[in-house]
Amino acid sequence: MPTSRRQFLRTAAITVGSLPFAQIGARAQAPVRPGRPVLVTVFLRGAMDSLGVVARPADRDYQRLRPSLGLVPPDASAPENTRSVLLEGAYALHPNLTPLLTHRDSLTALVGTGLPRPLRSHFDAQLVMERFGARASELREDGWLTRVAAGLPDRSPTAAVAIGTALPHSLARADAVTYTDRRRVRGGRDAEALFRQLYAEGRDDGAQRDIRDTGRRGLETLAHFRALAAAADRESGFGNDPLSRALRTVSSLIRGDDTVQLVNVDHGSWDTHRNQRGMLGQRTRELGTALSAFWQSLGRHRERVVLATLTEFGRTAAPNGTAGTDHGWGSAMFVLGTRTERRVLGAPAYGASDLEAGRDLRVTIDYRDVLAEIATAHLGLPAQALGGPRERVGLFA
Amino acid sequence: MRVRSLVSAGLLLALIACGSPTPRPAPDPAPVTPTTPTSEPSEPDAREHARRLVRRLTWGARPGELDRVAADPEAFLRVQLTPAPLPDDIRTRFDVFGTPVGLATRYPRTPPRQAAMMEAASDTVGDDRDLARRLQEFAIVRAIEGEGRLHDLLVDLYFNHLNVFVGKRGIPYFLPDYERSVIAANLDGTYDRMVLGSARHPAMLLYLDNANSVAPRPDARGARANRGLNENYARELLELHTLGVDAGYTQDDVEATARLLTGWNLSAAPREGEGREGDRRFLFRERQHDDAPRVILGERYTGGEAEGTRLLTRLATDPRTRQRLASRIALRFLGEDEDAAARDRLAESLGTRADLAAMHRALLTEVRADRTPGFKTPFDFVVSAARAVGGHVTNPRPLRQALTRLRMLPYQQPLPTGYAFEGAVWRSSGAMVERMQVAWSLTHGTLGVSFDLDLAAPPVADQATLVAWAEALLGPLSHTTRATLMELDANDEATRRDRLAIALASPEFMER
Repeated sequence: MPTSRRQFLRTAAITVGSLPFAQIGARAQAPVRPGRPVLVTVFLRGAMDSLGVVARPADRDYQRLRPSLGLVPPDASAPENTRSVLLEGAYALHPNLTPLLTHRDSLTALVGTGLPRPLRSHFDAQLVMERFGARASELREDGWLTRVAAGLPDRSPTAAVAIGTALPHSLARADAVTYTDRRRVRGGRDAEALFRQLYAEGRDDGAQRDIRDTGRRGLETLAHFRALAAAADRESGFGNDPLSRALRTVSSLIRGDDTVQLVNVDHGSWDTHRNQRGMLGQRTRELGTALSAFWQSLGRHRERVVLATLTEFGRTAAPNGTAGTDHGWGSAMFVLGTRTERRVLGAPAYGASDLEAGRDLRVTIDYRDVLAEIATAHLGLPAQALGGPRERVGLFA
Repeated sequence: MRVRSLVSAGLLLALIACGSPTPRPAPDPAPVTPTTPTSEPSEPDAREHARRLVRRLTWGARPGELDRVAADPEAFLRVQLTPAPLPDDIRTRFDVFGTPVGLATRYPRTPPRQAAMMEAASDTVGDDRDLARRLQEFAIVRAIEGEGRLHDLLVDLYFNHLNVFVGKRGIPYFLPDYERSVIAANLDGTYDRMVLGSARHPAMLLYLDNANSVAPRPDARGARANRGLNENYARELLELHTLGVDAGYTQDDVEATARLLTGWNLSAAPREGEGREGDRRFLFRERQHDDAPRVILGERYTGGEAEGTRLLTRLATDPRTRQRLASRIALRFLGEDEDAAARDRLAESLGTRADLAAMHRALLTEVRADRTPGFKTPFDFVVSAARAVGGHVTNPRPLRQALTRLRMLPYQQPLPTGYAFEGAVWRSSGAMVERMQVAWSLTHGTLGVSFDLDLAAPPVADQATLVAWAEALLGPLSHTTRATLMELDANDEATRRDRLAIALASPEFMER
């Protein structure tokens, strides 16, 4: 749970120093060499109903669970835009994820993923998942991305970025920067110069030292990322919603600065307790558009990037009494990466006796196995960085 | 903006008289040492004590307030737990008063189509989303222009504890009444009354879906066993409103609570009539209630409405609930050091009946001690900055947009956790830059707040006076803040706005 400010100060690395931003900009002009690997996490806040997004719609048990709020089989006689779209084998996607199929060869859907034990509270489950934990007690104080960042060789102060104005739990205690797509300091150059002076590292700063350091980091990062965003081409294909805007920004940062390696974006809310059809339709439309446009926009940088979605849990297998679903357990993760091998991993069972407590899809792939595999196979971290070797999932070739 | 050296008093006064800006020469490489202040000796201890009280207990000092509090701190403390009257003109500026039916009449759910309504409509009439925006703007302006007593901050704190989200359908009409009759009205009572009020209020029933939770058919099995039941409220009642996630309740307890509270519903809105969406009140619906006996947290409950009330009272007065309330109060008002002893004293003051008034009185004692300051939340910061300049809101929209960017617009938190009050959650590098920009906009007149520059940033005779002004506003200055301000000692309007911006953007002003 949140630590006191004093504890936070003791562990965060404070020294930022001055970065050779001019050099970084110049490097971005050169042709892309193998370069540093990147992980972008998109946290789907509110608990995504995986059964309504990626499932086996022709399965008899599935149809028994979801006489409503289910995926319509791709070959059913129904209007095209209501039918799910085939991913592989028996698995199909919500029709609004169709744009993702453009990049089918880089896409893996992992189904039946989640926490090792049911934990049906949003706040709790998000916190546990973002701390790479198993249960609500005995959580580490630092976020899982903080541990990953610490394990990256030769990392820069801008290695870890959170899109938004508040650090997520996954970057707790990290020397990370937050960034939104605001480009300009209001008031122009005079204001910015004054603020830089006000927040310059000084002697005798006393109790406000950490506030001063945070402010200075913000000013430096803003200037740097602003330059990157301006230099990047304006990509099309994105939508106008917060997720699209965030991923468009992320794309420009990745293409312009190869020291950016970990980026978190939040998307929500997926908490469809009531009248799920509309809300889930909206979220999947945003997700499909943004992810596809993002992957497209990366161009030749795709090879060093992996994108993974997370969500705190899934939702009840059966709809509730208000045309929605309540908190469940097993859900799904989407991974985009050029080295992904399979289109679908995992095969949850939908029979009544296969459900947890008779109500929830079970977890058969621990989310930590997925994240650890990305961290080791893609980011090059040793297994120790996340607590030792874990079960292999088989994401990458 | 930067003067080469201390200007002689005569030349300075001449410049002030003709109002011309000083030229902007190159900065002086040798730092200038300030002379001894020539103003009358201040009483630093009384003033700093006053600053501490005002900073912790209120939305921030408006001009002149610190002197008043320093002169009589006891009088200040005496009124903190009573509601201050609203400024008269606020009622004419914000059409957010009246009953839910009245609000629903004036802000119908769909935009008015009928000609009759169009004729009768003034150009301020809108729909429920307009009402939501008005409510948010009202909350911001009320905090800036009102007295800003502890009472108001407690309403804010408990509202977030029993959070409802204004963006959910139907809720705007009931939100003012929720804040008034459930939160504010119960601040001087016991916590179970607040929880009961919340459980029975249309705003909460709609927000956490209990209005739609019905007992499943008794013969349903397997996947259909829970069809109809919505656990949302029951879970958040246990996890957030009362016991807390570590209390050790089980999924069975959650489900049993949900079943016991089935039937806690609303009267149906009339089919026709103006303001019909607001015409709903609590109604216990026998037919939707699951009255089977059950065990919750080790105690037996039979069916019926009174048993639900009994459960809520039990949860609200539980020692674990009391501990959480005390922690919340301590976190919000006693700075960032975790003072377990103070928290325990606050918990003890609640007594077995969870007497909130007693705890709030105990808070007024605890707040006097010297502690490490906390970090202002975004709302704290924006409001305290506007108050510090003596601001009057001419256009609430830029303020609403700033708080949206800072992610703390009133009533806008969709999660039942409400907004966090831990400073560390809000202290990110991007948010810091956003705050700097808010300070700049405010002082340069683009935040929709008007103020008297002569009052907020008067001309200064010399750097010593400048430092004294800054210290009066901010308390003891760090070296870097002082050095930055000292270079802004010219008295043209631009420089005065700039130094006010720097003061309000300083790390010192971020603390509470």
